[in-house]
Amino acid sequence: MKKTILILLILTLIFTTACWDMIELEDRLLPYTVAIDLSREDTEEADEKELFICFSYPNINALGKNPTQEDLTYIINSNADSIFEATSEISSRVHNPVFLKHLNVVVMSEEVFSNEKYVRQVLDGLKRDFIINKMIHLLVTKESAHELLLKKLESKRQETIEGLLSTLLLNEQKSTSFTPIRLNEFIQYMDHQRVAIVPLAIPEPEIALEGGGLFKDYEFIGYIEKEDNRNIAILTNKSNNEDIDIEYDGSKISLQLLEIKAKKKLVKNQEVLTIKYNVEMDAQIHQYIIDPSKKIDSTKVLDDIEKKASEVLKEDFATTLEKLQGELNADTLGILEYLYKFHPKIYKEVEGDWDSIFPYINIDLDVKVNIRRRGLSEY
Amino acid sequence: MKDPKISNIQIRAILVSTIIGIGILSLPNQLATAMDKDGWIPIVLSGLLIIPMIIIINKIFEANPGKDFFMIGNETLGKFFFTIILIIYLTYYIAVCSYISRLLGELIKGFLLPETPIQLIVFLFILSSSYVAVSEINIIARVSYLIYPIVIGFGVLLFLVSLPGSDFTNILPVFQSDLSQLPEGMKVALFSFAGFEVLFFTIPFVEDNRRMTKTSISAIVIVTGLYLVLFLVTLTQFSIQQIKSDPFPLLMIAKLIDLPGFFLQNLDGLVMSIWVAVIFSTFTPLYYSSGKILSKLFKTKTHAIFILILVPVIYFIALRPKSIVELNTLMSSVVNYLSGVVVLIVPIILFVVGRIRGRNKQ
Repeated sequence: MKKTILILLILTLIFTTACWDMIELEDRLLPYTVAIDLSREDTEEADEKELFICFSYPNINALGKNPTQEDLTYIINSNADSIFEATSEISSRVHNPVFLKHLNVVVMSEEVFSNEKYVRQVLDGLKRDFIINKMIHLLVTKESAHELLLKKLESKRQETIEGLLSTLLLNEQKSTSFTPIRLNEFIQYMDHQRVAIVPLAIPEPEIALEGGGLFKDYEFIGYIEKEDNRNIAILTNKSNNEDIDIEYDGSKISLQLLEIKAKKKLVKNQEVLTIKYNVEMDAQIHQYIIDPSKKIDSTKVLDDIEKKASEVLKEDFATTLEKLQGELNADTLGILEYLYKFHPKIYKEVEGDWDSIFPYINIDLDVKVNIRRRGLSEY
Repeated sequence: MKDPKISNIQIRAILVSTIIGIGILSLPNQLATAMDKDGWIPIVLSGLLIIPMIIIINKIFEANPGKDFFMIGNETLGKFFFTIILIIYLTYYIAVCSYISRLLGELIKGFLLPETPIQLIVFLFILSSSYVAVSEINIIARVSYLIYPIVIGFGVLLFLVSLPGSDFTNILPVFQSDLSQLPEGMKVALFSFAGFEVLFFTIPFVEDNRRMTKTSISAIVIVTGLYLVLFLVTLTQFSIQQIKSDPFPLLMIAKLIDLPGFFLQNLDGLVMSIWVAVIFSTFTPLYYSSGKILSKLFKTKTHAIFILILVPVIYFIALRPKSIVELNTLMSSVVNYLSGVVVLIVPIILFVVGRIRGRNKQ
């Protein structure tokens, strides 16, 4: 018995001491951004392949104490039908195996994402692969995605090691001009509310993320401005911190909005489907004017400012809602999802022709701003 | 040789770690396919249904004190019928073992070791399990007891790391599914409880027989609770369509983890390696049982030799299915049907026939 076990152990040793999968970290290419365009005509084999795929990866030799090379990132590209074909295509030109686990951003150009088939194919590839990170950020751009990556190289001010786009998309700066979206979230939105906004990258004058492209059932339906994006972010509880300037009593008041909470509720027993939105937020006064006649010292003044701010915000929200219900017909607010979760009976009635119902539903807005702090000055 | 003894805590460990195994990764997917968001109903119902089965098994052994499964079977059913039942058990165990080792190989190859040949992964897994399976039941119980915290920890870990990204409204709406789908859901959920029949091989060696029923029921409660929590966690992470399209939702949760600022991402490697331990503790008792059955059939003193003989058998059956799709349709349906017989029918037959015979004697 002991002998058998011993032989087994020795056999195990023989098998386990070799390693098929051992690759040192520095022997890998770790692309973190992939840009997808339609295939370019000026290159060979372009007419056979559908897409032009471009990876950007950090140059390990440029990091550390004594860098031997200067460029922080390198870009390599290839014509291919999929990201995976592209990795094998470029393998004849790179010295290390490409490893996609740390892929962080995928950028698609308008030509690509306006074709529903490409969107479905690319996203399926990302979703299906064992290795690829499922929290990958999605991004769209109007011009060429490849040029966006090139532009990124030029811009010295915005240079960061782990990639400008991915750092912007982490959104530690809490911008509301865009709302980052990840692959998993995108697919979830497609299932729940059928609409999702993917942030839009603008290359000129320097790289910025503003507004987004609107997708409905994986089909591109239009762009939204950054103002609309802010309003949608507030109405869907994605923004927690926002600065606005309003005109009050002949001068500007700068308000910082905090603790923004939006709640939607179905109003029952109405002829038309009515959703009531309660948006409530705290505010703090950043700036007013040095003028003894304009003191902020009574609740009446505060009430007045609050009322004014609420009106301004309400008007803003209403314009966005009009766009969403009108030309775009896109339920980015997740009203369908809300009905599905909390009013399943109504959901079953409206689900089938939501597209023809959504433009005509009533959305009542109720905005309440509570000014809590006025800063270090009375006037 | 002194009779091996198992304590009650070890019994609980062996039950929990045998039941929780291969099914746990795909359970939310299968339940969602059958019952949508109400997949928790079959879990609870199956848990409730398994408890009487556990009591039945305990009653069988109470009626025949001091005898083991093979003696009881021979006495109640007669040699011929019992041999047939044993062969069904054996087929079932070999099929499950092959299924487990193949799926494990496929997933490890996919997630962790893309370059390593799957043959090697499967072979090494069977080989290392055989090292434990050659031992007697008390050793296996001790190994299970060792892995038991890992099994529970696996569930707790998944729950904790997925908390920051969960949307609890996703659990809604409840009670919206079609109740005619319940049998389908029950089939899935019941199969996920398969493995408790390992009691047949363990009860005769228990130190304290009186608390046995209580211990084994508490094990079932733990498993039901864990399944329930993991199903709800999956719901909070994905839309129902995603769960339906994703064959291994729990692994996907591990991939979705993103604690702030690159601190933790892509935990699939870690979760996979924990999961291997979980599978190991499912595999060894089943493997041991098949060796034990063979040794009874051929009337040998020890089952160790059969464990070694079974290594190539399981290995070749495991590598039979052409693709993971074939594995999941063909092989898992074989396993499913056999498990119905093994888990539900045989204990009931043993119990009823035993009762009738007992009465006739009186």
